[in-house]
Amino acid sequence: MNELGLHFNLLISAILFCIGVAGVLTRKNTIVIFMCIELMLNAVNLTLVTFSVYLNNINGQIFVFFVMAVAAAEAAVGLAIILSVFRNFLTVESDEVAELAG
Amino acid sequence: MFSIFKDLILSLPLSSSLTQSEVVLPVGEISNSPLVDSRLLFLPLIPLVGALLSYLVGGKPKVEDDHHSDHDHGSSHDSHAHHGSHDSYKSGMSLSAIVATTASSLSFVLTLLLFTALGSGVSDSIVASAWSWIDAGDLNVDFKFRFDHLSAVMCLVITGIGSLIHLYASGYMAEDPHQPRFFAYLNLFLSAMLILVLGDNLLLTFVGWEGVGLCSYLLIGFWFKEMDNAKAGQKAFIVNRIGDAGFLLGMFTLFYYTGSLSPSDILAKVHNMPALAIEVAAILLLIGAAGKSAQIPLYIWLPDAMAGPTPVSALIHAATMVTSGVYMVARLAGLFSAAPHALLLVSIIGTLTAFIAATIALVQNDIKKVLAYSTVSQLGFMFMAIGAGAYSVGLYHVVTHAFFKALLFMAAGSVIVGCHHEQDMRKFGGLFKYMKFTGISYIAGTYAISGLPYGSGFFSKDSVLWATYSSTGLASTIEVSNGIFLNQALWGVGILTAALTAFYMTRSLFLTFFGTYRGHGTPHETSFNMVFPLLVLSVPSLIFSFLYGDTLLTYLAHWTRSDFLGGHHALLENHTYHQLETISMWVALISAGLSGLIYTFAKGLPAKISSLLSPIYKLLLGKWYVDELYNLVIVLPLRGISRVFFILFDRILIDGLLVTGSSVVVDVAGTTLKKIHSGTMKSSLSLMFSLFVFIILFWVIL
Repeated sequence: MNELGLHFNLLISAILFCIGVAGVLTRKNTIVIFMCIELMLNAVNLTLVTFSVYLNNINGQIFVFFVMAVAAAEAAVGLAIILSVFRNFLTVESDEVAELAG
Repeated sequence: MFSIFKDLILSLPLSSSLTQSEVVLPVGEISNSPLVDSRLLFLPLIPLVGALLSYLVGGKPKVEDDHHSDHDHGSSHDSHAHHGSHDSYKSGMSLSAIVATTASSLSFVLTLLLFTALGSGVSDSIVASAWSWIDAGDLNVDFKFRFDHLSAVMCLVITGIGSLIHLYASGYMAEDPHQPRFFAYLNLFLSAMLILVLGDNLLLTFVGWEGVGLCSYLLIGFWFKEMDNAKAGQKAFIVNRIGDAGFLLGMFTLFYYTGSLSPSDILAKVHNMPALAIEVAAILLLIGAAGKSAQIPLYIWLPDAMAGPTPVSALIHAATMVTSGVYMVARLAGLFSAAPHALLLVSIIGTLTAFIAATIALVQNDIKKVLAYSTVSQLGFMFMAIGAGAYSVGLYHVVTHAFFKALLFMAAGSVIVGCHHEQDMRKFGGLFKYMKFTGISYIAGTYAISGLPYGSGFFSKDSVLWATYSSTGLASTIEVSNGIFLNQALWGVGILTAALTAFYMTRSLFLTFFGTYRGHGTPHETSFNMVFPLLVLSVPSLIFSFLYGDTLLTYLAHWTRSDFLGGHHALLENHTYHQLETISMWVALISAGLSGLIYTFAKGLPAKISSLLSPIYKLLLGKWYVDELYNLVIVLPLRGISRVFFILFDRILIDGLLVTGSSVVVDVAGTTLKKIHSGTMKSSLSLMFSLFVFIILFWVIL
């Protein structure tokens, strides 16, 4: 922590988060979008861990474990959804699944 | 048998109070505490029940085949059955006619009983309270009736003449399939009229006031399949509404200043009111009276009201309802006496109405129109009397007018039926030969209304004219020209009107009953049901005033406390009165005689005169163009304003801005916002993110 500094860690997590956002917004493949969401979650995890160390408070790290657990569950549900989308539409491209268009 | 029946009536708990008070108070001692007699409540109730019953027992109207029904209602002015030859007028009465006539006669009998009770001199009035109607703060109104000398006379006229007219109507309407409806309305009218007269507070009077207005509307438009009739009904209703608004406002004013709606309370507190408020209240009430009693400027509905069946014209638009304005003013006599300007207005309006209506009646050819304008004219006379402060004289004329005008209308109706639903006097003539009884009755009526010596109109009209001449009100202080005061000028116009009356009535008599028959078909005398009431009414039309005029005046003066006459006898000593009476007698005689001569021997003369004075003739024939004037001054601007408001508010504001506008807002918002809803994940997400970023930025900057 001391070697790299608070700002460095936060900057890394912000960059990771932005990469995630950019990926979610620009990519069409649902699986890639899904991966990018994972990236965003991990960026948040990094922030939490950083502050936990910085503030000397264990809560942040505990929270990270929760996030990881939720992310795992989410991965299971998300992949199941993607699978069933593929079965119905024979594609995982997000633009082509536009049944809710107003 | 009869005494048992009488005992039964008297032993009813309802009437027990009457017998008690008779016992307690020695007869002959006048007490001012009113007598309580619950039989009074039945007086308006009987015709009301009669109305319900006569409608219910009538059943469905007899089915007429369509061809005939169109023919019946669409072809003639006043006809319900064109196809009836004279033998189709049967004298048999329908069940609803019997019920209605019975109800009306019963209320007459009850009126007589009450009249006798009142006449026994125990008390000034009989009251009966049904329930406390409104009890809200300062406003306490009981559903309470009061039977005093004033309402006694009115009730006798209403139920007495009303019963005769019911009987007459059973003959007149014998062929009409809608008799149940007709008789129900007729009885409903009686009930409403009795409520009007008996109501112990102005609010109850107003209930009756509106009730008779409603019945008038329903009965004028009785044959509503013909557009003209329906329109006449609407005209009457709307014009009456204007008057009613005045009445209501007057009532509010009185309540504001006196805190009561009961005439006796109001009159007791009148002198605490500011003078201006008295005048305003009186003038507002006068507007109401002018609406109901067909005075200038609201008289225009009455001639059109002749679209109704003739018994209706006789009952409502001649004998009873139209006198309710006079009644109301007399009821509040103390108020009007304290309002000299309002009284002056009453005199002027009355005189003008009497004169103008009489001039119009001169040139009418429809026999019912002549009588209608004559009614307006006679109502003007009643207002003249009231304007002079002689309320009892006004009511005296109400009574005599009720006799002879009901008689004239019914005789005219008999002529109309006898001549196969012809109303144009130019197509009558020589009918006396065919219809002796009707003819005799019409002669009696004409004699009375023309003010020929010792007929009932002679005395009442003379009293009216004398009241005007000798009035000490405001009119007698206004000098119109050298040495002639306004009251004398009004008397002059009155005399002129009396002359015109004698002239046009004699004209109608001679055109109808003498000369040669100018119509088609053979006229025939009408059924017993129609002729009998005529003959009955002929008697009081001729001799009522001679026998009972003074009695009636004294009786009425008992209530109205008008100091006029102070007994007719004192007048007979008065030299001026004698002179004036002689003048008016000769004026009427000469005028009637002249008219008779002209329409017997010089039939071409009227045409010559009318072409000689063609502008005046046209003015009269056009009824002074009052309808056209109102159309121009009131109806058209009102329509214009309505049109503007219609476009401005209805079309633009409500329809355009609010209704269409709100739908446009929703529509535009929808089309714009639906683009967001592309259904692709990318657009939803980018929206979500940009919103997040926006919120965070906003939060950070703040």
